[in-house]
Amino acid sequence: MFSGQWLTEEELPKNIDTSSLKQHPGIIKGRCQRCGNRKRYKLARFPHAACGKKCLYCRNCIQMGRITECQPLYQMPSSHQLPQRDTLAWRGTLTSHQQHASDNITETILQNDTLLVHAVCGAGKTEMIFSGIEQALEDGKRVCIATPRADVVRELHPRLEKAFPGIPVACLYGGHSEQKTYTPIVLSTTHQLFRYKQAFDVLIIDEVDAFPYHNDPSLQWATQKAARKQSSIIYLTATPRKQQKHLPKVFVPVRYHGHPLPVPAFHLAPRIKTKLPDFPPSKRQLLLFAPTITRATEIAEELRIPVVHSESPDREEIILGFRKKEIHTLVTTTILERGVTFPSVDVYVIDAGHEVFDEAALVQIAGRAGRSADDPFGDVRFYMEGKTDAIIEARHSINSMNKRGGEL
Amino acid sequence: MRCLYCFNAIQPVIGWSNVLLPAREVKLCEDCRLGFLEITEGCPGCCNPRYTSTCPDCQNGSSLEQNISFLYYNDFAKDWVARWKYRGDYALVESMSAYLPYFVRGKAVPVPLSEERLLERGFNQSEAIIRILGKQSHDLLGRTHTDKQSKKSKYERQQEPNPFYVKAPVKGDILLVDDIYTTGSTMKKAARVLKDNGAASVKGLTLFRA
Repeated sequence: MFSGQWLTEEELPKNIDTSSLKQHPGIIKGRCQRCGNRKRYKLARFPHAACGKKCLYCRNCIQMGRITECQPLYQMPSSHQLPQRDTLAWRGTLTSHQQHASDNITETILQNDTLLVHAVCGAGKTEMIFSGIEQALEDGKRVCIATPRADVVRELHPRLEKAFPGIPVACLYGGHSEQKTYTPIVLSTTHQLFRYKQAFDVLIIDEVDAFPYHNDPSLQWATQKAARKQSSIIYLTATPRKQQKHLPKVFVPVRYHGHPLPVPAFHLAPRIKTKLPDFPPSKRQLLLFAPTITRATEIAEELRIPVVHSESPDREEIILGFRKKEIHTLVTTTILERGVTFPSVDVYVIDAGHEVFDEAALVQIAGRAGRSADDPFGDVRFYMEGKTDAIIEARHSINSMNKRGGEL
Repeated sequence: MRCLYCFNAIQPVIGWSNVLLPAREVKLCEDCRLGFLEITEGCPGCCNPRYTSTCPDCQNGSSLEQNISFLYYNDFAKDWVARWKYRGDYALVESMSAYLPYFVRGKAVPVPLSEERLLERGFNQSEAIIRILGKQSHDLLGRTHTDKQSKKSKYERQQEPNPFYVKAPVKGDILLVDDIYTTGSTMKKAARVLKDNGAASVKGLTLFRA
């Protein structure tokens, strides 16, 4: 139960003897021991009835329950895991590029090292980590696959269960965060890692450059904390940021089906912020990306089509409906920019010059198209009032990846 | 400056009013401020915004002379209260200073929590509001432990025995402070006990009006 987690008194299972557990204060030297926050404006004092003092508490991770300086965090003892052989049921073949990256990952896991895997959108990152996970399970190591996006967690879960049929996989994301039993594989959003400390031997972080992970130091702190002292950390991304450049790196420049990435076409639409351009009818399913939730809702109302964003209550059903092809055109915000795979779609970005579409976001969005081997092409259009640096750099980076892929 | 609720940076707007005078400290960003909706008109007795004249509830008379509330208990307010009261983010209460009056008459008495609930929550939310009002808190009432009010219907609330009792002698005009006025049964029960024990008058002040 709760193996490897550090919990507050309220979160502990009812009938447990706290005196036998390792514990330390919730806040040490002005740093929250769960989320690593030490920003002054995210720490505050309150008159605490339990200790009678003006007690310091953390406001950063308050949604998970309050951490105070006077109440301890308890460590749940970690279970031991037996080595398991031949756990991988996935029998697909990897391309030579995937194989190269996969070998690198396995080697990194054996050496307890760190590795950044830079693979273009649709390179088949998930398949590349399978043999590394199998190796880890064989050594009796506990594996965590974490990603900033809950949608990515939901998509990966069935794929992992299929690949490792005999291995229980815990799936943790906001609202589904209770881990009942010990599992050798944990699939989780990076936020859920706050509760773990020195729990994993192998930590695979998918989409490291995604919001909110890349600009939230407390999430980065949490992942470092969740890994054991002797452990390997593998970062996967299609668009590495500058601060990740110093890591040992392996690059996969080609998609698994060998076709180049769709290059975005630029369409000038002078009044794109208020008025929709005339779209040509699309034969494939169509994803429309809008910069903000308000704009997405407006477009959805105008075209009478469904919309999905971070605050939609029926987000999962709509995405499922799109996946089952019950929905032809879907409006969305950047929440669907990465990690999710729809086999054959066209992608139009409305107001690509908006500041939320940075280079990484645009490359990722363009990477939603042409992901299946049956239909490796897709129409990617950026509708904009004018080119921004991000738009130019995104196209430049797609072109240069295609070029590097073509040379190999 | 950072917004107390969403932590986004607040850009101070410079105009004649704050070039010449020290600006009133802004605790919430524009977006979060727009989430709250201020009550401008309501029942004069209980501040119920669905009525403009005395509502049927108040016509029946009550132990509480008057209740004043400041904000609608809308979805944004519900999230705010959940984080403040149930998650225990005490500091959020500072953001209410913009909605509260500078001065209210009466001896401020917080609606108490039972011992168990106080230990669980860590603080009394009514006392926090009194602190923001800039008044002295008079801890005159005690409360026996019952289930949470927010899980019950109006009828169930009214049928329950009065959980309040006085801890200290009561006199004068009382300002009873709580966070949310829903059916008013908590406030009325507390007011009843105060009046039976010597209060001259009891008025209510609540942040939110459901």
